[in-house]
Amino acid sequence: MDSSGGVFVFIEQTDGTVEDTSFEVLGKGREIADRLGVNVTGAILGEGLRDMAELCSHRGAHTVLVAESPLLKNFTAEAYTKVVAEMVRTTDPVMLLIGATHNGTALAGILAVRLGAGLMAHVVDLEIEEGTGALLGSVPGFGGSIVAVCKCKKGRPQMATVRPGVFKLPELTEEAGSVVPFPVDLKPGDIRCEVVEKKIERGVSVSKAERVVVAGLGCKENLALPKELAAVTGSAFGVSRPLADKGLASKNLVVGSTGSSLNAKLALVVGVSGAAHFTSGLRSVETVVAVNSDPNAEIFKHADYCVIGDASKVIPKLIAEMARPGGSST
Amino acid sequence: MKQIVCLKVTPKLEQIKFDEQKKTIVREGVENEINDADKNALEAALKLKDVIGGSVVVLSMGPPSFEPFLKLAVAMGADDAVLLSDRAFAGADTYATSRVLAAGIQKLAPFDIVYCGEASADGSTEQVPPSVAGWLGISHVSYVSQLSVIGEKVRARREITDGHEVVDTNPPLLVSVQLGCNSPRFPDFRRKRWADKEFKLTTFSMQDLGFAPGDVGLEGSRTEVTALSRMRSPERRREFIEGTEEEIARRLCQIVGGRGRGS
Amino acid sequence: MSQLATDEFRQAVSRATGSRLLACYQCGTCTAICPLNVPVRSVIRGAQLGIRDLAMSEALWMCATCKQCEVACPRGVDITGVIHALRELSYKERKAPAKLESALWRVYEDGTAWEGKKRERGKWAEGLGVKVANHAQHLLFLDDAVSFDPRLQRIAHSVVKILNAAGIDFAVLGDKERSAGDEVYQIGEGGFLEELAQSNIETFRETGARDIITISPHSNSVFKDVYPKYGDVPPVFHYTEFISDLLDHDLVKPGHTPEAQGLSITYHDPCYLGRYAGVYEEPRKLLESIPGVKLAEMEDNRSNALCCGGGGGGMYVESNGERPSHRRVAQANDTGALVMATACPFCVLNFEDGVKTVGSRIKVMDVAEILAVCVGKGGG
Repeated sequence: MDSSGGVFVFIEQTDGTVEDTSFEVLGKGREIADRLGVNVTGAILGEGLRDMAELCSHRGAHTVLVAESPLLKNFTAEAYTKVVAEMVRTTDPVMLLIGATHNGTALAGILAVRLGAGLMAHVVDLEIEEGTGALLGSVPGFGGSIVAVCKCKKGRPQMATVRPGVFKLPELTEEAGSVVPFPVDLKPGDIRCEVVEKKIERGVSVSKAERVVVAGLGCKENLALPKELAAVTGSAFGVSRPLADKGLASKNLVVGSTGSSLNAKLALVVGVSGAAHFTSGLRSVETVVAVNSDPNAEIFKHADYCVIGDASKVIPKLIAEMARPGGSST
Repeated sequence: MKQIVCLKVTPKLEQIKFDEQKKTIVREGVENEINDADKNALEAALKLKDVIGGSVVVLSMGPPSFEPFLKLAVAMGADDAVLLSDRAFAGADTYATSRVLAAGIQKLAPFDIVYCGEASADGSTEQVPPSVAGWLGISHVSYVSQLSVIGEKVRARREITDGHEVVDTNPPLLVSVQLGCNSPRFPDFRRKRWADKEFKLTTFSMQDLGFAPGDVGLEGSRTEVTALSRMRSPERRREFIEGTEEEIARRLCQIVGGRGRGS
Repeated sequence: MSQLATDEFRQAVSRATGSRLLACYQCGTCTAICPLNVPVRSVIRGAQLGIRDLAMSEALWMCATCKQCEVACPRGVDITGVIHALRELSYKERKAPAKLESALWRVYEDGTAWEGKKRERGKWAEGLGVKVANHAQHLLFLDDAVSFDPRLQRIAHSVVKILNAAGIDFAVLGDKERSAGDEVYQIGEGGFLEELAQSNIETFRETGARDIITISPHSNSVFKDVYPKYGDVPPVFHYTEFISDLLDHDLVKPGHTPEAQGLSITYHDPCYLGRYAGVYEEPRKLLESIPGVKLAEMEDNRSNALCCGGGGGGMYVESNGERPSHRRVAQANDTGALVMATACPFCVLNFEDGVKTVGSRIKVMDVAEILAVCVGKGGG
């Protein structure tokens, strides 16, 4: 396999901020490239990209391709696909990695068809196959309970979208890659979607927080209590999927296979039964504390400390204990 | 306004078993249902039809056993149903699946809006919708929670990571609909009885769609599965904290206090 | 808000409600007495005059169908009948609450309105040695919530213990059991309800059971009041009726237990057991049969009991304002009793919630749970 084209990483930015997932993928991309002995090309699209491109060049990219145009200011699959496809044709990478944000996922799907490439979606791990150097992606399926290790059998580049929060944020390096402008060949007529309104609301992302309190159905829809616990313990707040499906919490708070993987040191999981699609999000958590009123709840198999009890009783006691002067919290 | 809704029939996840010996997924005896997100997609199409009229056709790639589910979709209000069925379609990855779906949709052209659920419950790659749009060469607006028609354009509200957008597009376009964004209407059982007895499904085979075996199914896929495993969970302590409510609170407090594992 | 009355709507309502509306002379007693603050009088008025905004408003879905208004109504208007007919019309127009609609889908796809996996429905019986999906003289029907909710499964365990102690030959359906369909009926759907009822009736026939024992008064009512339209239903008894009969025949003998000595219990009459099925005395009799137990009556008891808010689909829909269960828990507190007993799974859940919120030391228990403690102890 000709790897000379290197590893290509799509860097997603929204209104001047690079998505953390893109940095995570860049870090992993660099690790893979080093193993194969090839370079990493990062690609960033939008307007006013200089500072962001600099950041990328200090996070592992040997080259950062910068495509500037007012037509790229807002993400549209049409415009982004056209430009990235052009970049890929010029660079001929052996691998193309994209963070599986909503936009990244949409972009990858169209690109795969445009390029005739194999695409492994929202992988939770990436490996290089011994001997062949082929990209192996671990793709979760069936609600997250089963993982399929996949490989691209035809097409180039080998594509993968990566689940947010799975890989570590790379450190800033002294070494800097080069920032190279990429000519943009776009006309307004290329874009048929017009973004007429856009509203971004950033909070503490659950996947990055050191501590997270996760509430499930067992909280009986009373989220004030686990939220208070999150506040007093300095934790981010997350939910299990059913709570978001019921409209009680926004989807970006969901922990699990359809949401975020936690990388926390401590996760307090309250009132969550522990179905496979949820517990897959706990794998990287150092310490899991679970509270559930059902002694047979599956969650207890995935926890370090288990309390059989009703969330509405246990949490207030814990909150009170934490507030007690001379209490047991260090 | 002609609308086409892609439907997938998926297994009930909790009934899926994994054979540890053979490292395969056991599907025998597993019951199926219409993929939840596709129900939301169908509801979105029907809602729009309630307002501006036109027709809604449901389309699916699968074996003949999908028929009752397509009829259920008709009972929900779809005007017609098409099944893309051929042994050669089996084992398809998202690339080969989207290719077949796109060909089926093309056979129903002209159309205004194509709908997909944002992801399937089993594969959940979210890749079929953008790939179908790619094959059809039409715009794709993803993670849509609401739709309306403003003049000539279709206005869609998209939910994106950390926020939302409102996007206007000239048809034709493909819309992938967010899971849970609406309440799918329950089938009209009188219509269901009619559909079960009288409604005739339209079926297209590989030949009907103009494909050769190498284009579709396992052969036409760009990716392959090399191994399957159950998600491994790290070994947890599984230590149960017992005692009075106060004792439990104190112990939890100690743990939260930040000494973590090994304390 | 449009006050326009339309002939078309009035005719549709008239066809749906028949003559049930005509007797109402708008005294407003119903609205005054409704524990859920439903503007009943307005709804009836809207139906009488064909004013859509009054008759088909959200208020229609706030109703827990508790029948307290009917007890108070001086004209004997079939108010819940009218509510149901209006719901049928409202459902056709897709105005039913989304949560009830998703419950409907769950009944169709998984055989349960309560969240739960179809093939795990029989798990509550593991290790109990209960006859499952087999021929027996009596069929014990759990329904959805009792089958899946860990708190409510304990009620089923208790009923099983009592029946076993009495040597009764009974079976349960396990994961072959399908929802009784109360939620389907409450949302006003008719086509699927017919199929479900017929399917269940056939299942009952196949078990060869000569009668059905229910745990939930809601399934009890659906079987007795709704199913006969669709087929022949065997006799149906709520477990309190059935066990009361066993008590009369000395097959159940609650023995002495230290916990029961001097225990003060107040019994709450579930709407669907009391006002719907007319069963008031049997549960009391069961409690009083326990040596040492003292019954204390709440201010509003028997046909005046205050609804917990769970009926009519209420378990699936958010309520506005103060939950009615809080008022009832306060009344229970006032009796000084240590235990609040009831005989409906929805009441158990709502009152336990209420006790948590209102902050009370009273313990909420189902009659079966209380009785099960004392049965099989030196008595039989």
